[in-house]
Amino acid sequence: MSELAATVTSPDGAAEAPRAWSRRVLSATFTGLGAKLGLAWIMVVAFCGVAAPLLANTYPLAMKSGGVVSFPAIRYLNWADVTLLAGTVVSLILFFAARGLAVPTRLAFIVGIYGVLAVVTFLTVRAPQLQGFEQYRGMEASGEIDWSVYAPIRFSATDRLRDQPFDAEARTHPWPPSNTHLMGTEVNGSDILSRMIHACRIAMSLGFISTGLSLFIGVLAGAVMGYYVKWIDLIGMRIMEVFDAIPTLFLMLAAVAFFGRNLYIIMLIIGFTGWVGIARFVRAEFLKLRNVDYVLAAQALGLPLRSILFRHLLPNALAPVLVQVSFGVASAILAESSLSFLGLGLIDEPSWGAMLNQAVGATGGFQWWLAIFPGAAIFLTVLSYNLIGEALRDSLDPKLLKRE
Amino acid sequence: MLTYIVRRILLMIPTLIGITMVVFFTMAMSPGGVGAALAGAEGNMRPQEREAVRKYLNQRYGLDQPAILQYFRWLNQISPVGFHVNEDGSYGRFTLKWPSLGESLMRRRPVTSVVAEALPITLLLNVITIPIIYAISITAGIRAAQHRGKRFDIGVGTTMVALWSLPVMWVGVMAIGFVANREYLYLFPTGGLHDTLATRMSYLPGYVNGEFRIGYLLDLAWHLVLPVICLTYGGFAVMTKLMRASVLENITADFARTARAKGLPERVVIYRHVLRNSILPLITVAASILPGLLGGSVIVESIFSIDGMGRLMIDAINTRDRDLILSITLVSGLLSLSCLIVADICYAIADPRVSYE
Amino acid sequence: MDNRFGVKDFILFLVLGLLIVLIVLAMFQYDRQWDQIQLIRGKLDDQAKEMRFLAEKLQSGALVHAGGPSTTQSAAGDDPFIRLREVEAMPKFARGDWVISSLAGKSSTLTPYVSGDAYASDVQSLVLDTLADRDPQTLDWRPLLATKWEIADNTKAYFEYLAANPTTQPTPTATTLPADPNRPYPVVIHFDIREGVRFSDGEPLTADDVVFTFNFVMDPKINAPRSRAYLEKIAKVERSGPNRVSFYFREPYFEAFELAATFQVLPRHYYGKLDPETFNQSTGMLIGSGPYKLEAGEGWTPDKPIELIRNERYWGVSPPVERIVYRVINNDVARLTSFRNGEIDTYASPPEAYVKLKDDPAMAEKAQRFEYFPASGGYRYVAWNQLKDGKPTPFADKNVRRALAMVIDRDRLMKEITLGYAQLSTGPFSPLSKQFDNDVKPLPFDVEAGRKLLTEAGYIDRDGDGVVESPKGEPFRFKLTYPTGISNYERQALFIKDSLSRVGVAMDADPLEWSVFQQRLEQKNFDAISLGWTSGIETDIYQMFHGSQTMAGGDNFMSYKNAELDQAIDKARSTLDEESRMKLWNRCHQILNEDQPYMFLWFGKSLTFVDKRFENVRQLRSGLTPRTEWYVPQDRQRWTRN
Repeated sequence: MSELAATVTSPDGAAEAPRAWSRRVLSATFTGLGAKLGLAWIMVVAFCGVAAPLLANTYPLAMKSGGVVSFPAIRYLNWADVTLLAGTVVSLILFFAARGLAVPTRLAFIVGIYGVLAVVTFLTVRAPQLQGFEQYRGMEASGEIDWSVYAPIRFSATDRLRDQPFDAEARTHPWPPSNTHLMGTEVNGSDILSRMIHACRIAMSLGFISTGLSLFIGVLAGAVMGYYVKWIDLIGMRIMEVFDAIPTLFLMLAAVAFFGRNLYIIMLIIGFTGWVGIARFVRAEFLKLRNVDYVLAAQALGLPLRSILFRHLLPNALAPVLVQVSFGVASAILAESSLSFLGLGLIDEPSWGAMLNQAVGATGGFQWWLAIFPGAAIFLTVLSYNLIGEALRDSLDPKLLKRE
Repeated sequence: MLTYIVRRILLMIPTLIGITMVVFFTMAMSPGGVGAALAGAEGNMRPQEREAVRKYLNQRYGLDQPAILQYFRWLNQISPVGFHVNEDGSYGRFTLKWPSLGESLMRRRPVTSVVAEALPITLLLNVITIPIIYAISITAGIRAAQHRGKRFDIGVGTTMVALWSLPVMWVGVMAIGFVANREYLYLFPTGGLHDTLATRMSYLPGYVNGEFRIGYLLDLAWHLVLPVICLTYGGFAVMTKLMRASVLENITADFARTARAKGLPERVVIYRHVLRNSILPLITVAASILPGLLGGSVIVESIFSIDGMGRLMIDAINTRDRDLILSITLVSGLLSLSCLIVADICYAIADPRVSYE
Repeated sequence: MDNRFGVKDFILFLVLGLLIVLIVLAMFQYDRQWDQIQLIRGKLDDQAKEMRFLAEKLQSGALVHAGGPSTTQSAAGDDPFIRLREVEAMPKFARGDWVISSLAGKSSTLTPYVSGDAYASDVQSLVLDTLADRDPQTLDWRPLLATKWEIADNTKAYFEYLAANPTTQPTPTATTLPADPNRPYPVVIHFDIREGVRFSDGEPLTADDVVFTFNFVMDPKINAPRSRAYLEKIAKVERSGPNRVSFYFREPYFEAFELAATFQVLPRHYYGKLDPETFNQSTGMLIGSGPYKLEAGEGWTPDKPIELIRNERYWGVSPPVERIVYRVINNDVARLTSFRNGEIDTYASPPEAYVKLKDDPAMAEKAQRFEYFPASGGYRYVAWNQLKDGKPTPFADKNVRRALAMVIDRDRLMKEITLGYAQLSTGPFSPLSKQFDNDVKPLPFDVEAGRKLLTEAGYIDRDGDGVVESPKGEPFRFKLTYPTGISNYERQALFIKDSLSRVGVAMDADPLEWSVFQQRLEQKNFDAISLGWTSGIETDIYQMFHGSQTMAGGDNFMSYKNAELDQAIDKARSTLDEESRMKLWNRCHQILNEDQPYMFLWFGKSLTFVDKRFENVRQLRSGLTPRTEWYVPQDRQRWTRN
């Protein structure tokens, strides 16, 4: 099955082989149209997540009033915004400029840059704590501003348009799409397009945190259990069963009661309880492959355990895991929607799932703009991860590689 | 194999203890405490009333004891050998006794009767949902793998992902609003499991006074259609993808090539040889989704006003109903562990390469 | 390799499985038939008993009107069924048909005094009778099980005795006064019990049943601590004549009559035979003398639907509607769709739905709609905690509370959430009640004035970060806590957050699940909460606002103390004369509006739709006409197939 993988890792070519292999896999993955489209959408979401404060903001990016030029939007950036913006710019420059360094080294540098920036901005950046949307709209209306440059979408994510006159006879929020609000407003009055853009950040990070954690723990646990049967397997299986049987909802309710509504804690919990599924797959594949020829050959050659597990057995075991992971990343977003339905969701922070939850009105009327836009975003995200996952799986399968 | 099964069954006990211990201590330590919602069941209680209620409950259920004592008290209650509890709560001799699941704090009834009302409904829903998901996923996955890269594959894949991205809550509510509504299509009922007149119906459909009466069974089935649709549509995507990936691996394997070289028709190759080898990941997945399904799908149950295990669990958690939470965890733990054992056995039967020695 | 397990075996297993399933189903079907036969048998037994009873009465010549109340009227009493007789005289009156109500949740038990939820009390009010009840239109008390009553007011003697024998407690309450056999009872109420009343199983109702019910509830082995605490003010209930009962109260209390009159009477011959455990664990033991009875009887379990059928042995005028059925529908949209389909007959709609539904022609065709302020309606408020961790909070300053109320446009908030179907509230009393002082005006919405008040109280932005700080330099930042699951609290919280950010006060929304919320309230570990209270025809505000109720677990959880208010409340509670009492309540209203311990928000209207086929559904002072007075003309009846 994977004779190709086995022959590639010869002792003397060890330094070259990993880089060639990973580069080969990556280039093979992204040749197909599906994977390219998936990557394109992910890039769009990532871009929106990073540049959100510059894309959708009530505050002008730059303005002149009474002879003084000021940059309100910049002033209101908080530490996370600054970290993401600055960090991404620096990382991109680094990634493409320093071709000489190996890929893992470059990635390590990038992580380091983000980390340092995060710490520095957390300690130094002091954004105003309260929002003053009405102030700038008021100044615009009374003509105090000479010139101003705005972001493409002139609403922030939490701007609920309180300064607009309330007419009980007129429509109450949510409003359908119009010229001022391209995707309409949601139940509390904030612009949907703006919230969609700001929610990209949460959308990207949620899935990665929870699935990343599950993947890490699951692969490790499953591999070890599947390789060493007997006692480790016994205890490991019991632990897995315990984790499995604890109702996740229960843990989430407890976590919310303890820590308040912190989405990251919830995602950590999903990650901690989700590793079981992945571990089961890996263990099952390992059980199947333990006594296969090439593994025995590797053992006879005296290769270390780490090498056997991760270079030989794991690539073959990954196929079903990849499918699960690609859904897992997007299911975190849908899980957030269910949490809002059950009353555990975030308050006031933009997220696609929370908007979906508002789609059905009180009389059962379908408020389509609250459903279609976030729904399409989720659909495209799932599809993208799926396509990339499948392309990755195809390129990892040596038989298919051999065919080409 | 037999020793393996016996060993697994005996090993269930420490696992169950582990599960219930984790659940219990999480609940005891979380804000709200055990039985917190009881004392404040309604907002208008006067403080004397609240004190009186609290004293009464503490005495009756032992809520003021430290958590570990309460846990042992519960263990004693559910085991067939233990200390006999006298009328006023003191402990007697160590004997054989009837295990009892305890009493629900909120509902003031034995847990067994509460769970016995909700469990059959959840089981019924699952017994219908799981075969449907598997049947459709297996057939679609096989065909998609056979026509890899062509229109069927891409179309089915995209449709199923689209279905998966639809959140249950508004599919359910949309269904009620459009398909169960006299003003649009009145095909299905809005919820519940029985008609208002269900208690007067006979089981099988028939003619009464010249009018056709649907009968109890068909009425139940009619009420189940929408909830089952809501529970199944999301499950296709993952299963189909898994099946497709698995079949793709095996369809080009050596044994398949041999079979074709032997002259067997493609249909036989796929359905008799490739299928048996490809079904293994699905068995693995079944083992892990079953505990979740037994917990019930809370959202579907609350939209369609069905009283299954999911809603029961949420109610119990919200009111910190100690005995009920522990018993539900115990019951669903027991069920899911049994399903895991069955899955492992199926696995061993299906794939001779797997050995448990 | 041959395939041992083939398609043939699979089909065999399937057929076998099917057979087993069919046999099991047949067993269930047999069981159900058996249940039905038992029910029929029970009904036949009942009828035989009734026949014997009537035969005996005929023989003894005592029967003139079939147990009707008109022959046993006492001169002073009113006929409790005057309204029903008027209904019977209405055009197209017919008996029959069902009312299908919907419940938002399931009851865990229907057994009286053990159950705690609102759904069960609705059912119990139809199955059990009380000594007296309020006329829905005039709101006066009218006799029901009692024909007349006498209130002996010994308050003066009581206070004189207390003055002569001082106790160690400054404010004697029911549970803290030591027992003293010489002390006169401040209030004693005597009731004359009507003759000829029978329970739904035929046994007569006597004064002994009333005494039994009281002693039964007060037995500590019965799982009814809440009812016990409520009835604690009654020292004892005694039989003082062949048809007379007396309630002795421990202390003077203005609600004494209400407490005694709304006492639901249980049959001694039935409940007296039960041991406490069986009673506590039962779910359906609900037998009474009311107009309806539980069809499933004592075997009712929560998984069965609740169906009430007319009590054929009812001692009074039987209501027209034959059966009341309750369906449980949790989801709001499902409930509306059910109503539109005609599967349920009443629908209480939220304001957002109501604005769309009131102009909907399909709805107008099938339903009649009502908007009204219910007499026992509730109000919403935000409570400011004045003492946290032993230290006074920014909210301890009255001017800060007033400033915050002025900065928040309560009128707009009310309109946004209730869409105009509410009235601004200025105090804890219902606008329909006489306790409400109509001259009290709400605080104006004035951001500048509010900002000025805050500055005067010492809250200025000293470090330029946008948030005002106290004189000590602590930023004014707090959390508004509210329970999850109640609609619109989140929108309300966000509105308040945005309003307060105009004057530099930072607020965070903090939704909590109910049990955690309760705990925080008790520990007073909160900054501000948003909740609601129900009020009534006369509300006692002692628990919520009296200075003595600030202990842990008390309802004065914001530690609010005002000596003048305390005095007014104490005096009002022990004044039995209504006029002077109302004046005292009005004074309380003025003080509360001035002090703003709560930011009172609004009283909501009830927006109800009722199926059009029901006649005599009107708006009365207490709300809508009760279901016992509805009827459906013969040609419009839906459920009775005549």
